[in-house]
Amino acid sequence: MRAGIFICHCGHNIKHTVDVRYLSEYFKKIPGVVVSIDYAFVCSEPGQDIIKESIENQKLDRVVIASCTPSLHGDLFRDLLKKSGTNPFYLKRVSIREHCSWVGDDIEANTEKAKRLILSGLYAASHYIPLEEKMVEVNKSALVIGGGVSGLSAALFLARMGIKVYLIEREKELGGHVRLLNKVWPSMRNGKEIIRELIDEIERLDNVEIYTDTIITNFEGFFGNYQVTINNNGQERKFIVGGVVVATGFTPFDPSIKPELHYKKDKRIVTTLDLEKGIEYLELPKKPRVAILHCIGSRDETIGRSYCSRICCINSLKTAEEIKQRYPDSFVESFYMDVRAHPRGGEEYFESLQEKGVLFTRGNVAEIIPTDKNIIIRGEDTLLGEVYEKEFDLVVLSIGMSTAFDSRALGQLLKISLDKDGFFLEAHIKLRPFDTAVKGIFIAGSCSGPKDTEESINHGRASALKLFGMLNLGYAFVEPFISYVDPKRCSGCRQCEEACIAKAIKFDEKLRVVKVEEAACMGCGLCNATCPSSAISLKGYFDSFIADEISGLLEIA
Amino acid sequence: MQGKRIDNEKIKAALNRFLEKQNHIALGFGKNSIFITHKIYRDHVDDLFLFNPYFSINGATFFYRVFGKDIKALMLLRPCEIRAMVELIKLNQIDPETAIMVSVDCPGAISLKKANADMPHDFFEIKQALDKNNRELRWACRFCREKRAVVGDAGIRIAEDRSMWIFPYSDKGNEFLGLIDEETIEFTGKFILSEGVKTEPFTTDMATFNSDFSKCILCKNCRDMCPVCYCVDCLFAGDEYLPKGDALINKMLRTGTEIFPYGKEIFHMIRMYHVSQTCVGCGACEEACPQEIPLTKYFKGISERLQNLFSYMSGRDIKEVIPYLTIKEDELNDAED
Repeated sequence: MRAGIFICHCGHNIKHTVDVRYLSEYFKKIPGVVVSIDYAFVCSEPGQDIIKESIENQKLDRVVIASCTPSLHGDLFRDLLKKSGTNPFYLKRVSIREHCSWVGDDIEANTEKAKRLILSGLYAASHYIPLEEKMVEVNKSALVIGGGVSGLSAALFLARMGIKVYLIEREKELGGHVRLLNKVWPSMRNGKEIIRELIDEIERLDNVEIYTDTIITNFEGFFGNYQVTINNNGQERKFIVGGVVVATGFTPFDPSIKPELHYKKDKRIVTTLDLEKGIEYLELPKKPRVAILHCIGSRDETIGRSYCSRICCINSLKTAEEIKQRYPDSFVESFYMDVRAHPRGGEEYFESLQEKGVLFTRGNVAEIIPTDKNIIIRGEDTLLGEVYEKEFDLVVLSIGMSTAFDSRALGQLLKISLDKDGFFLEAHIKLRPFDTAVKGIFIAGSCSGPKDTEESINHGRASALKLFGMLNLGYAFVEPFISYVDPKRCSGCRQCEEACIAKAIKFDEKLRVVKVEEAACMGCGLCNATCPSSAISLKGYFDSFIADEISGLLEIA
Repeated sequence: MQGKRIDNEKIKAALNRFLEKQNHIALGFGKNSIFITHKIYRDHVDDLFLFNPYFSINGATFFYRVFGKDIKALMLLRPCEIRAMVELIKLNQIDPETAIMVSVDCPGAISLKKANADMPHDFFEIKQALDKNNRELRWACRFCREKRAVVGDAGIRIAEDRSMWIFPYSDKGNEFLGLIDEETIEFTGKFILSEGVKTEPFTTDMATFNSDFSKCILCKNCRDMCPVCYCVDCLFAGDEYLPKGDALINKMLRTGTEIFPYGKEIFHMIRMYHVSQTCVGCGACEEACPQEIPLTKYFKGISERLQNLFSYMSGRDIKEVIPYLTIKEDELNDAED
């Protein structure tokens, strides 16, 4: 082994609490270390040149860089090694900034800790083997699950950029919930029109295949080569896609879960979604008294929905406006916790309705008592601290969003995770909000949390663009940190096969051993931990190497 | 409960009928020159013993890695041996079609290590000898979890009125019952064996562990005789965990003084970790130990405590999933948090 150790000062970030000069001198004496240098900024151009020159002149075969966290500059140093003519997987990054210099002020203790961290990194690097990133071909086609406004937008964007799109929808008709909306805030356009426009545009393109009344029955493979089986109205169909956009949307909250709301028992109690059909069928008196109840099925711990559904405040305001327009002499009162009219123009809309005479009372309704003549509502006004009891002719429940009923099953099929509320989980809430943890599978629209129409359209377009960026390259690199099986040791007990969540392990009936499908393996290491005879190891992470890494941390006194 | 009333002769007749077919074999207890021990029959059963007062090896060990096509093996064994068979089937080390497993009520056994050839071989005589004559019942048998023949494809049970019965538990069991020349009737009486011993959850500390295992010579006999320790190539065969030769010297030069044999704690700990979910508590490891380390105390104690956490009992049912395979994908996220 010819190892080079490069210790970064990171300006003052590391240098001020770690004695970097002492460290670089110390490691010069360790056997196997050829170069040991400390430098102000290893990531800078001159810093990179030092590493490159050392690799070329000293023929280094291990490079240990002690600097910031490995998630920073990871690709930069890997590329540097590649350019300098060594295998990029001979690189070991040691974090002596986040894990060491930023933690405490004691120079002596920090230097000691940095010494152990670098030594353990060196021990680990001594076990490194050269690894190759495998290139796989990417199929330039995409599957869009869900034909709502988000899925349609995603399909349209992908198709326009020349990707073959398979759009599947569970219902008989495309359009999702937007199709049911009479007016979509803030443009107040008809939902059907919006959908019609999108569908017309999609139908003009010839690279979109639309399947309605369809569900996915099987899904396997890996990025660039997912094999999908669908059941289209009883007929089975199979195709291969490069990536997936999941836009399964939501289910409107069903208020009959809470019997105290009397929904479906009394026809004078309706939801905001029922009102999209119009008000006429309710046969209200000329001066109707209408109560609007906010937060039905949202922000409610008792039914396990602690999240805010975001859309229902605007929906309530829209309902109030419609009633005021149809019955100018009506009395409309809204019972709320908070009015969260957060989209642009929402707050102004809220104020305009207050001016129109809609009454807003802070305090959730505790009791609904339907009588022959009217509906009595009781609750506490939290601003005045008084109990109210009022009579109404109509009660409108402003319902929130629940997860699509089969999202858990779909999540299991696609191997993507769900958050605690059952919405699909993004890979990172800020940095990767459209990605899932599985490569090539993106989420769009309200299947990843409540969103309004505008947000859903944008989310769909963004996911489509991200997927296009990955598909358009035509190839992808597979991380080399995957499992491999030693056939001599494997006893064919197939416990790993059951443990594998990526379904990457296949059993060879003839040899009675298992094999890893390299492209499908996610490198999670579950099989590794399951195998009793250590026949499976993760390339780049052997048991012996981790043991040595630990002993590096413990050995020097 | 529907079953057939049988005796030794009827079982023998049924076995002989079973062996008439090609590629059919039977495993039960027979006599060597001195003791009763495991015996495999191919053509004809002559000296079948249903009950064996000596315990030496778990019979499932012999059937480890049987994948031969068209072979049918009928086994008349103790419940702990049948349970080990069931675990091995779950671990794909035995073709489930191969084995027809018939468990037999177990009166308990003495260790073959300490035995004279003077034990009786009738159920009640064995039980009496163990109860009254102060013959030393094995530790594993004294705290046995399941002496009743309620596992496998069929079970031979003893009723309180000293009659012997066989009950089918699966289709394969029914098939074997079809060979017995007897009417299926309803059993209404009581069985002589009741539920197994309920013990306190096992606890120990490092000091006791160290003193108990200080005698270990790392012969690894416990591993070789364990019916559920099934790997073809054990990870202790390499020098990652138990270094030898140059690997050992290099390790010692770096780490310093070490007591030999090196790594016996890690050997037993890892073995315990590997078998604790499938251990049937038969005590075969302790029988194999030349140093008389109380292995059963540790392996049986820890595995029963662990299995109870998951309401699992090794070998109870072939459809039960081994707890560590019931991992759910969300649990991975819990670990990340």
